[in-house]
Amino acid sequence: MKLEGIAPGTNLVTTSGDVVELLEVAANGESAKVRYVEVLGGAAATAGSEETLYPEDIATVDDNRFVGPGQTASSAG
Amino acid sequence: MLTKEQNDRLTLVGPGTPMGELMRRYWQPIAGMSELNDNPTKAVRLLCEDLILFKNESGTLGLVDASCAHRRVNLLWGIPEKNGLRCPYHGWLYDETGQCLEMPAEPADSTFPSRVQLKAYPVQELGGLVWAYLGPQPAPLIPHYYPFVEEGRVRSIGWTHVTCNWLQIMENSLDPIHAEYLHGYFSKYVLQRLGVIKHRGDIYGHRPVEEDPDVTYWRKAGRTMRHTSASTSRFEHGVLKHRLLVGETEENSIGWNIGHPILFPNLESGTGGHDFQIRVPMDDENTYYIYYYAHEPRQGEPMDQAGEDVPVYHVPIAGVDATGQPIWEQLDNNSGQDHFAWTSQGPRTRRWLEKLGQSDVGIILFRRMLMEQMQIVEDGGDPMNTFRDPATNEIIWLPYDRQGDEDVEGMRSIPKEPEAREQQAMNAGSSGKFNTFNLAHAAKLGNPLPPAFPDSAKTAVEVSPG
Repeated sequence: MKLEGIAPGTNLVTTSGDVVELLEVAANGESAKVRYVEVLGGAAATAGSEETLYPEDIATVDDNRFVGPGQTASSAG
Repeated sequence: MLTKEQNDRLTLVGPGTPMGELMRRYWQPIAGMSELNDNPTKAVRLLCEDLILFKNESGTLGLVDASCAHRRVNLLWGIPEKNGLRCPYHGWLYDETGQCLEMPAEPADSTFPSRVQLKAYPVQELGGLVWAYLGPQPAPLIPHYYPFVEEGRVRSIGWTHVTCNWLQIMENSLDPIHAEYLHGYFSKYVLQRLGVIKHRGDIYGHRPVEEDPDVTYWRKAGRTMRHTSASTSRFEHGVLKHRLLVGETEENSIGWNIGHPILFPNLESGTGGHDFQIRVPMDDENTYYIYYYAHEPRQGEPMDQAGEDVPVYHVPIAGVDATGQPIWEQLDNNSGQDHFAWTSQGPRTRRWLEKLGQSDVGIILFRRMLMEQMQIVEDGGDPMNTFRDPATNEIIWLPYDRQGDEDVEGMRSIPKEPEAREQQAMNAGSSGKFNTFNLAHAAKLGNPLPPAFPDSAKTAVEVSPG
C-alpha cells in the first residue's frame, strides 16, 4: 500500500491481519516505522512493539470498510 | 503470514476446537428433504462427527450416532419404523432422541434399553433443506434468509463433495478479483482450448475475445469484469464485498456502493441474489457444498414446493485425468473452475506459506471476524447471526449488487429484462447446467443436453502440494 500521505497516528492493517499504528514514513516512502496495536496474524511481535514495515506489508487502513488497491495494474493497462 | 497454530485455529472444526465450537453455534444444512423420499437413511459427516440422518415411518426426522451402541454396526443400513430406526444386526430400536426403545434379544422384562442412548442432535426442515444443530442448548433459530422462505419461488438444491477445508472455499467468496482471472481470463483460455472461442483476448483487455458465432447454449463465454479496485465492509450479517469496475465511478457503481453479501459464517449469496452457496464443514479436509436456488417460476414450474418436493441434484467436481492432466471439459463453467482452485490449494492449505497483497483485503477482514467471533464464543456469548426472537426472523432481506443489470427495489433486486427473469437460475456458466429445472427448461426450448462431463481419475487435492 502506498504509504506516502498517510498521517502518523493512523491505524493500518497488515497483510497478516495485524493492526499497527503508523509512526513515521521514510522520506522515499519505501518503508514505515509502526507500532503494533493488535496482533492477530503471524507477526513475531507483541502489542506495543515497534518495527519497520514495507508497503507490501500493509493492506489497508483499519476501518469498517477495508479498501483494496487504489487502481489495479490490470485496469491501468 | 499466519502461523501454523493460527491456521489450525481458523480451520479445525472438531469438537472442542475454537472453530468447531463456533460452527456448532449455527444450524448446518446436511441434506435435501427429498433425498429421504426413496432412501430414508443418509450418512452424514458433520464437524468431524459421523452421524446418520433418518426419517421414520411417521415422518419424524432424527440424526443419531452412525454406529449402533450394541456392536457398532452402521445404522445407514437401519430399518425405519413407526417410532424410530431399527439396527439391522440385532434389532435394537432407537427414537429420534437416540433413546433405545427395544432390544429384542434381551429378556422381555429387561430395563437395559432405558439406559442406552445414542448421541443425537436436533434436526429441522426449512426451504427443502434438512438442518442440524450440534451446539449447546437452547438452540437458536434457523435464519430465515429470504431465499429459504420467500413465497412464489421455485426451489432446487445442488450439492457436491469438495475435498478440501471449508475456509479456503469461503475465502474465495471474500476475493472478488478472482472473478476477473479465474472466471474471466482462465475461463476464456478453457473455452479456447475447447474450440468454443477463437481467441481468449488478453489479460489487460487490449485485445477483445473473439467469439465463435456458433457458441453453444451451455458454453457461453462469461463477461470479463475488469476491476479498478475491490473492498469489503462489515454489515450486520457478515461482509459485503465491493467491486469497482473499469468504466464505473465510485458514485454510480452499485457493486461499489451496495456490494455482495457473504453471510457469516459459511454462506454466500450468489450472483442474482436468489441463490445461496453454503459451505458445510464435514471435517478438516472435506466440505459438503450446497448450491441453493430459489428462482422466479418459468412456465409450468411448481412454486413453493413442499420440502420433500424440492429436487436435489449432484454437481460433479472437477479433477484430473489418469495422466494427471486437467480435464478441460470440466472447466467450462464457474463451478468447475472454483472446484479446482479450492482443492488445488491442498486439503487444508498452508497459510503460513502464502503471500497476501492489497487486493486480499476481504480475506484479511474475514479472518479477523472469525477470530473475533471465536473469542465471543469462548467468552460465553452468542456469535453474529444468532437469532432467538421469531419476530426478527420472519424473513431476512439482504442487500446485494448485480453490477447494474438489475434494479434494486428496497433490499431486493429485480432483473430489468423479462429475458433476464426468464434466465434466472439458468446460469449456463455455473453449476446451473446440472440443475434439474434448468435441464428441463433447456429441453423445452429445444436445446441439447450440456456437453458430457468426464469423470475425474483423481481430485485436484491428490496432485497438489498446497
